[in-house]
Amino acid sequence: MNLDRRVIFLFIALAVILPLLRPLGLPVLPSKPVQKMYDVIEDLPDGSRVLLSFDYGSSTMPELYPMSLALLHHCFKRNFKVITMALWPEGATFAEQALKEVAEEYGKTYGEDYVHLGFKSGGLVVISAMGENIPETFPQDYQGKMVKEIPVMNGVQNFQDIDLIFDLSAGDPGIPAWVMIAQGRHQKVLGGGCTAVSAPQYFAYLQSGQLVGLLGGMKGAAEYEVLVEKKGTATAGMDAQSMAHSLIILLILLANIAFFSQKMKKEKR
Amino acid sequence: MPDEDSVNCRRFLQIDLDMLKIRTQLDIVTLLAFFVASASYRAFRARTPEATLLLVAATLVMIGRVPIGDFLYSGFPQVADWIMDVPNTAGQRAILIGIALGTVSASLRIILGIERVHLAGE
Repeated sequence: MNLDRRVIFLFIALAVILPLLRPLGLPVLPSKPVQKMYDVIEDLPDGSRVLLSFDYGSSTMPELYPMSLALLHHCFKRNFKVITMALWPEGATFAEQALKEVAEEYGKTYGEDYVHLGFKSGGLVVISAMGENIPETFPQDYQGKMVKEIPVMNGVQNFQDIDLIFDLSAGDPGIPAWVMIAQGRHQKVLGGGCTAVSAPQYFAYLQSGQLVGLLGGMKGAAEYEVLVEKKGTATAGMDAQSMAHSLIILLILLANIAFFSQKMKKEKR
Repeated sequence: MPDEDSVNCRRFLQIDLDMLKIRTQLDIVTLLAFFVASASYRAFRARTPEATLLLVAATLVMIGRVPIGDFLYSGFPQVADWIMDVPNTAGQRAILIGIALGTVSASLRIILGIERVHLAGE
């Protein structure tokens, strides 16, 4: 069955746009890895220090940025001290945007409740150096202030002074590097958020306990939004994703029905 | 405190990022959705038993990983989770162990002088 690809493109566009304009309101139920992540964060005592690493770029922003917002909502709601950083250059900008968007809502003050260390090139080497000394690895924050003079960084020397690390990862450097150094070498509690495409390769870390929880793609972000009761763009996008997936499955089925009917016709001849 | 020049420079870079880089990269990635749909229609055929297995697994994961799957049948997410947890993780582990063994053997070949191509040898 020969279907013009422009027709397929049109159907996909409609399958994505229509649910965004008129949401179907399909229920989003948290999966086990997301629930685990939420429970681990929920069990941390008030005032715990959480390190969020924004290791992603623009191309993966629709999946990982809503995740960042949902996590920040949870951290600020629980009065955690939040330290953000980035191993990807654009990640630093996204961290700044996310902090601006969420911190105000909870009346959090920069420097006292949270700090943004900015971007540092080097990937695995940076993580390794942070395990030894964070203020030496990041002498200045994103705004150029001396890290040692920032109140929220008082008493933070290395990973031993951090209660939870969460990596928002779109590739390399990302979750594998954090697993190797922060979890493997320093035995830190580590959680991860990644794109839907890369999620399958991190299930091994989840099963081995090297990751305490995993948020996979926009669905993971939507599930976390539901858990923290802050519905955002990920939840809105789930209807569109549902429709797009259904359409692709329908196309695959149609193509296979056509393929087998042609095959049967040929065999009859 | 940062001076005026660096503030202006930062503002320009922010505009560049917001208006150009993010938009361009998102556009390119968005095209994937269209091409994946078209390619899956054209190429995803149950020609062999292996291809059929892949097709069935992919379909179940695709439907089980979105809310409509749970809406249609509550068992779809559980099936998708099982595929991700068991066969997928086993496959990923096999790949990781394979890479590790390959790296060790390649390193040993270089250390012991068996592999000398990088030194222009045979």
